[in-house]
Amino acid sequence: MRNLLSFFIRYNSFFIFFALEVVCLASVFRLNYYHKVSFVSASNDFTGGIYSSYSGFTDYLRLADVNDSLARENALLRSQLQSNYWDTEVKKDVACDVNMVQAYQFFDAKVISNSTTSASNYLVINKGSKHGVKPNMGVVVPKGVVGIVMDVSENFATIMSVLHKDSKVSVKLKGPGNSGSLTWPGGDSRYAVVKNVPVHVNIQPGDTIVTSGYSSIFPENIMVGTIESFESPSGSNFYEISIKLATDFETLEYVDVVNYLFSKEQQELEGQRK
Amino acid sequence: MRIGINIIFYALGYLGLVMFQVLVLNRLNLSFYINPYIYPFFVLMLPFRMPAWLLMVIAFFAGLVLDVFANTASIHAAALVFLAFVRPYWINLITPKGGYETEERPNIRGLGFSWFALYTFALVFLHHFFYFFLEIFSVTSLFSTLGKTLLSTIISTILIVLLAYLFSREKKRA
Repeated sequence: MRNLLSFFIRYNSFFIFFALEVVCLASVFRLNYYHKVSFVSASNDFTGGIYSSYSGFTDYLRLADVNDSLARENALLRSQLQSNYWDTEVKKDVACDVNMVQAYQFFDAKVISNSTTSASNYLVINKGSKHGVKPNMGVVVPKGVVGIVMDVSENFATIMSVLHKDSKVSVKLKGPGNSGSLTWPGGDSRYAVVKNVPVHVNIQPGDTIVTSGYSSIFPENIMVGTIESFESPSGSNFYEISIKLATDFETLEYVDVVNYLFSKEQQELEGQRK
Repeated sequence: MRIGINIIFYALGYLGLVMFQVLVLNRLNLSFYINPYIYPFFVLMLPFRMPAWLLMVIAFFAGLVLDVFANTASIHAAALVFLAFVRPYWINLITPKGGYETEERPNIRGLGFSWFALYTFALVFLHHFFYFFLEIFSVTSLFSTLGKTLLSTIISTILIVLLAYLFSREKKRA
């Protein structure tokens, strides 16, 4: 017993090192990355406050650009309105029908922190639970997709960017409609990779990739990017497609959070079969 | 009394470092391969005589502060604890001729540029490698991780050496 004790005392620095690393790594490798360690995101409001006041200062430097993007966004939103409504009635013999129900709601938010150079990039926006933001909502800009909401505090939300090693977005080819999944291999923030498109589909560089709408996160037909190049690895039935992202992650200022109003219902329905 | 002043001095210094790190360096977005981190400077500058366990506990909490800002679970804390663990061994290994008798903490003016650069480069390299490896966490991208580590370490070391000069000048005037 005394020997054991003196062993621990002798190598105390190693054991403390070991214990601290276990604490750290346990929280890093939590299985579910959507719900990050609670004691780290609990102070989201505090760090969010600091980012927000800093961003308030830098805003002045980019007013012209921001005005421009707001005007464009307004125009786009107006033209989007109709497409966010679904027809609920099964049309039998109706010529004129106005019975529509809203499926997607968009609300705008300002990006107060953004990164593009790490392997796991996040954004922070200035809307939170108070404004109706919930985890797993999609985030888009008029030109393309941005990411998925992870953590939410009262006034802020953290978004897992598409530029994240764990990010997966269901996409499809605009013409043929074959679906695939969008991932980011790291490196250049302008390019991403689409996998799981079978090789029998005829594709060309320049073809458009849009969201598939299969997940309950993004609406259908939101622009994702265009095909830059592709290859079919030998022995595989699927293309490896490199695409140029439509979203410019370097200059994000304002984003739209997508609230899918049937999300709960769809998830419950899908859950029944599991 | 002196210890109390020292603690406040260190705490304020670290706060400044963290702010510079998250508001300036983390927003530079220079390239995927260049992500300098200068906050390890704080652990590098702690006194020589500090016991190893205290060094690691301080590093753990210092790393957590950065994790909260960078939204990285506790990768920064893990990397900084690793640096703190290696530090005493590395200090023993590179003891200069006169030993450390004259200095209370790693001082670039007292111990010389080359000693300090060697001290910083190796520890920062280990810290960066540990951090980037955990961040990407795959063995297949080991070479890109190594490249990222090397390039970022060079930039971080230059920044930290500059900081060390600034810091020691401040001390002399006081």
